[in-house]
Amino acid sequence: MTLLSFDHVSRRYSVGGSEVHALDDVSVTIDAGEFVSVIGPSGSGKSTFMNLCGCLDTPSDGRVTIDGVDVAGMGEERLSELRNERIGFVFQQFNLLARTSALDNVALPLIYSGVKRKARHIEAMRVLERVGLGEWANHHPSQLSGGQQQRVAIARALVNEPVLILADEPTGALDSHTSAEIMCLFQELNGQGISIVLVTHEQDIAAASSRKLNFRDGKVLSDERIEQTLFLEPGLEATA
Amino acid sequence: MSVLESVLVALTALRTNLLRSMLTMLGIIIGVAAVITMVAMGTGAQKEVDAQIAALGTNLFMIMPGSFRDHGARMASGSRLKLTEDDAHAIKREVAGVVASAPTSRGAVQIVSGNMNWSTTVQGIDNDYLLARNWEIVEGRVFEAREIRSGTRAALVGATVAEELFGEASIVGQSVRINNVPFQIVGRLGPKGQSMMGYDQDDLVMVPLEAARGRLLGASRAVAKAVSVIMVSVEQASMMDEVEEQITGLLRQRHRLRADQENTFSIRNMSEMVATRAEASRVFNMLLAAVASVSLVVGGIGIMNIMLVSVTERTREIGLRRAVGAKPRDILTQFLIEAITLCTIGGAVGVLLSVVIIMVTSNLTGWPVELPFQVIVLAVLFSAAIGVSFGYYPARKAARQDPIEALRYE
Repeated sequence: MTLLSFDHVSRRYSVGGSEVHALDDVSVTIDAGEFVSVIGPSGSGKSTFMNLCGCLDTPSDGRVTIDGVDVAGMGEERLSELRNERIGFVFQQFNLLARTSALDNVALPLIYSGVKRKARHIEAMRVLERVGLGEWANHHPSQLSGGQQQRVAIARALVNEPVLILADEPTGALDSHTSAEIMCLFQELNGQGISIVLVTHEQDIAAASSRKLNFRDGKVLSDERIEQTLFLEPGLEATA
Repeated sequence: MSVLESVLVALTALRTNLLRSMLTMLGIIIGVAAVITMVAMGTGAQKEVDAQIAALGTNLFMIMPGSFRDHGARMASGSRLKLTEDDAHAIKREVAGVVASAPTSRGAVQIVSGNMNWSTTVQGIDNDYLLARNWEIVEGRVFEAREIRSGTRAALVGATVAEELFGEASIVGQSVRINNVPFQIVGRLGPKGQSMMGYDQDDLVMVPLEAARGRLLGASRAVAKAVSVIMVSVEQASMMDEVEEQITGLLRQRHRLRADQENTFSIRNMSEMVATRAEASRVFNMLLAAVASVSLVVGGIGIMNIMLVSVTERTREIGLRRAVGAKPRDILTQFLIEAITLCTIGGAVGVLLSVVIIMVTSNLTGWPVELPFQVIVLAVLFSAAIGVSFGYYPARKAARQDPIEALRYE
């Protein structure tokens, strides 16, 4: 089943009078349940691709369809709703609210989908337990390690049961050991049927995925299925 | 997202920056406290002026014998032609709209009761005087028509004199000696307080005009039935000008003045004088309140400043909220409610502060203060309105941020 389809999509920006083609006639489809990594040097268009996947942006030309919904011409309001219902974001810098408990951080998206406070906490607690942080629910981000913070962020991305998780350099701020832990978690989630699009510039992180999209100059340079490298439980080295 | 939810989010955000929130609020607190204190003091002063107006009597003219010119030399007022009791009666009889026309004479006397004595003023009146001045009797009765006619030795005693001579005791039926002439007290006058000029209006005794003239003040030989002042009270304020004109005409005619001669009397519109004073005090109050409002506006600018800083500081938070599904209007509401919450809490604290200030100052200085409840409600609403007007721009700025840019903000 097609989850995400890009049909001759272009995205242009005008920067200081001249036009920049951030994405140039890209056609890609991603099926539900896939684990796709997006790689490419900076300026290759992977961020733009990511923003379009995440309904943060709309295409200048072409059609972007997410879960059967065409986002072209959608207003800010509809896009916000779409993000809230179907997309989970994970960022390099975690982007957790400071001085706010892990539980409230995880529950944040539910505020905007109109879930009542009690129900929000129950739901957030369930997801926190799923990422193994049930006991840390009342801790503030500053009291958590980098890896734990990223787990909270992943829990936040999961809390609305999205069809797609978008991870933008999720291991960029973590050491290799913790990175492996996080990638292991992503693979576990993918194993449970959640689709993941992961932007990275590290080949060994990209190796965790089953499909690699290589961007260069706003185009897809290569699109290959790869053998998935399994990241194992913490404490074990990644193996081929 | 519900409003309650937004308020909770706002309160959380304000708590995270507690010191800053408090300092920002301080501007509003001081502004609201200043406005309320000024209004309370103004209202108190206004009340006092209103009380003076009420004590004076309504729509009042005071007619006095005027100065006149004799071959170019200006003579002292009252030095020749005098107003008479008959003038007063004529005014009441012939001028339409006159409710009371009271001839009175006054003079200084010594009043003695038992071993107590007191120097005061005696005022010879008829009952019209009490009517014109809206003066009430709190104990006993007014003079009877018979007593007025015959100049009976009966007296109404002012509150201050009664206090000095008798304390709290009942005074009706007591005998006093005024300048050694025995009088019997028939009533106690209600208190009027200080006059506009600052003298104690309750420091007097009233006796029938005839008794004052015949036994206490001495009658003028030149003009029988002469009085020093005629008080005229008019039915409606709108009739004042016309009545003044008619009285002037009537008195000129009665005093047989030729067209080229100056008036031998002067008519003072007392109500107008008080009204002018009341107006002046009202303008002064408004000025005070306006100056105080300026501090409230400055407080509002402080709010705007801090909200702008806060929006910039929390750009990534805004980006994140947008990414997880906040709509622009959710962000707008969040920041707007933060500003309103700041202002409303500040307003409430300001009200408390002003109550304390008012109580302390009125206790220390004895200034009359009056804190109308509406002013409190108005001040809090006004500070919330300041929250809206000064919070809107920063909130809109927050809501308009592009989520992609905001997420990337360092």
